[in-house]
Amino acid sequence: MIVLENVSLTYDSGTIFQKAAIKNVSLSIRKGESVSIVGKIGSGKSTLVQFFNGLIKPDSGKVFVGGEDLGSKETNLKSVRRKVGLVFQYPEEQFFAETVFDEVAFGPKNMGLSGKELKDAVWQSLSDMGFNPSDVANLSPFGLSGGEKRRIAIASIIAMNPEVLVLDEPTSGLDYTGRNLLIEYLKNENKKGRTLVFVTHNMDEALEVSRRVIAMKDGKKVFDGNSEDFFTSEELVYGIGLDVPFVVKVWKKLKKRFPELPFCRSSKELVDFLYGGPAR
Amino acid sequence: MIRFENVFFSYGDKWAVQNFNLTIRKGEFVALLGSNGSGKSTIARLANGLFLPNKGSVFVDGFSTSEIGEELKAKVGLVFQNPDDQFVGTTVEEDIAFGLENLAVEREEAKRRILEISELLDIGKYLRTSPSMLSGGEKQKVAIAGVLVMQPRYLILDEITALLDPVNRKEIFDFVFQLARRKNIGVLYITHISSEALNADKVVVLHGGKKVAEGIPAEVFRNFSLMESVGVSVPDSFYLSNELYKLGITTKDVLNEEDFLKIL
Ligand SMILES: Nc1ncnc2c1ncn2[C@@H]1O[C@H](COP(=O)(O)OP(=O)(O)OP(=O)(O)O)[C@@H](O)[C@H]1O
Ligand SMILES: Nc1ncnc2c1ncn2[C@@H]1O[C@H](COP(=O)(O)OP(=O)(O)OP(=O)(O)O)[C@@H](O)[C@H]1O
Ligand SMILES: [Mg+2]
Ligand SMILES: [Mg+2]
Repeated sequence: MIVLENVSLTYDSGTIFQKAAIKNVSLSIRKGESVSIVGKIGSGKSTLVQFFNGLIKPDSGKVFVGGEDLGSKETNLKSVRRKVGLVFQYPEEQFFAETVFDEVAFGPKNMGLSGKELKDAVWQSLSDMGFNPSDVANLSPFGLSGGEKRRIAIASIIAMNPEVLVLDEPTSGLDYTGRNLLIEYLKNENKKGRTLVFVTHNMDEALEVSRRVIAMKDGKKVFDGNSEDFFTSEELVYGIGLDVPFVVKVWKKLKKRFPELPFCRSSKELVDFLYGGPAR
Repeated sequence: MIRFENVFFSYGDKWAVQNFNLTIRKGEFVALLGSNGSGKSTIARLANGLFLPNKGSVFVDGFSTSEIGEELKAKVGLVFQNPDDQFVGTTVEEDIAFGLENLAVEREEAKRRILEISELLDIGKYLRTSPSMLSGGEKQKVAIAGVLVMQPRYLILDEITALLDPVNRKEIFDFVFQLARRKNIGVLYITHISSEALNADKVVVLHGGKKVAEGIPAEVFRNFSLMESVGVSVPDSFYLSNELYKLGITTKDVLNEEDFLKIL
């Protein structure tokens, strides 16, 4: 679905501020996969995901989405952005509409939706994000709290029903309920076949959401593979300057006492197993 | 100390903060938790006089925030939830220096402080860069530096680790936590990461603009049903510790991650 071949990018090239943000990265994300991207601050995660829908063009290397070369003149970037929905790190900064309805309706309207179809798309995505649509539709998006804005911003992308959903730290600033709702939503959408790319600083979330993890360090891809292998290797994780998920630390200790304990991706799964619940 | 007395605040037709009372003493680390929209950032802005209460009062060292203005901003440093709301300078260095100029801090002293804070937070390498060219987490660190450099007596920190990786998060958290102790600064620490509240002197929980719990972490978090009903998570360590204890796998019920891993 998304392929990067030897992609590099330097910001402000040729000036004293020049910064090599992405260094020769290749990767391939297949349809229906769920991939979490982790890495220290400034390691290139946000830059990387903006290649995925053509918002940023590499200095060298190639980007393909659904087989189309984004560097080619024939490629219609508009249709690529429909296919790959990107939720920015601070999406609420891009708000422009006077009402929540117009904010969320903007994308689907541009895709040609109108009337009942449009309203249904907006209503559905607002309720997917935990709102009671009629409560918020007429409010100004600017007058909401930080976490409320974030969920509106996510709703405005999912309203376009993109094949690939790319989210850049969507859970930062979300409360307990909002975070759980979003994580469950993402896991569920992926189960239904939607391709998912999830950038996060929360290692427990990365493990819970994706079987595959890509780790970035100083603009380079330093790991790409199974998230269980990654997070159970202290050497790998600490080497990149990250932390082992709390649930893995607990699981490792318990595994010594309960050898039959299977790998657990969340504390809930762990507790369920110990109670002889659904995981067993 | 900072004292909220029966404070009400509204943006329009409904109260964002209602009948709120709180004391933050010097040297005290107070964690403020609550679901999205519960009023945390509003309280942050009331604490440094950016907003004035519609009813009730906020006192800083005995003076009402409605009586003193500019002076207060130097005394009560506020780091915003969104770092972009905070930037004023065209370079990171100018940005950090801005507050110091307003305080009329001497040039040499200003330089010294900027150097010190940039080393401490490891942001020296971007001093000449524009804040707009930084990554999310880099911006967050710069925003924190801009407030710390003014050496305020009180710090109001609104979700300042939300954009940081685990190692930076721990470093910054430990640093501001120690500040309360070492420099006798009163800290109001707003967060959704409830494990960050585990060592606080006091935890306050908001819901719909009202205070619904206040106490030491162990007491507040032990009220699972209240936390659940107001949409605030209990730390994973506390949750797991509690479950494993009930299952008889551990013999003690502990609060924080290190203690829990030790008894496993
Ligand atoms: N618009 C820009 N102009 C110049 N440099 C930039 C720009 N955006 C990012 N950078 C630099 O490129 C590097 C990678 O930034 P990026 O935003 O991709 O990191 P990140 O991994 O998303 O970090 P974070 O976790 O803090 O969001 C950083 O060192 C950053 O300073
Ligand atoms: N500028 C504004 N205009 C109108 N209403 C606002 C404004 N800012 C906040 N509100 C409303 O006031 C209430 C409290 O908002 P506040 O930003 O204090 O919440 P918060 O606890 O900081 O939430 P979050 O965790 O999402 O940051 C919310 O219902 C919010 O919608
Ligand atoms: Mg980023
Ligand atoms: Mg807030």
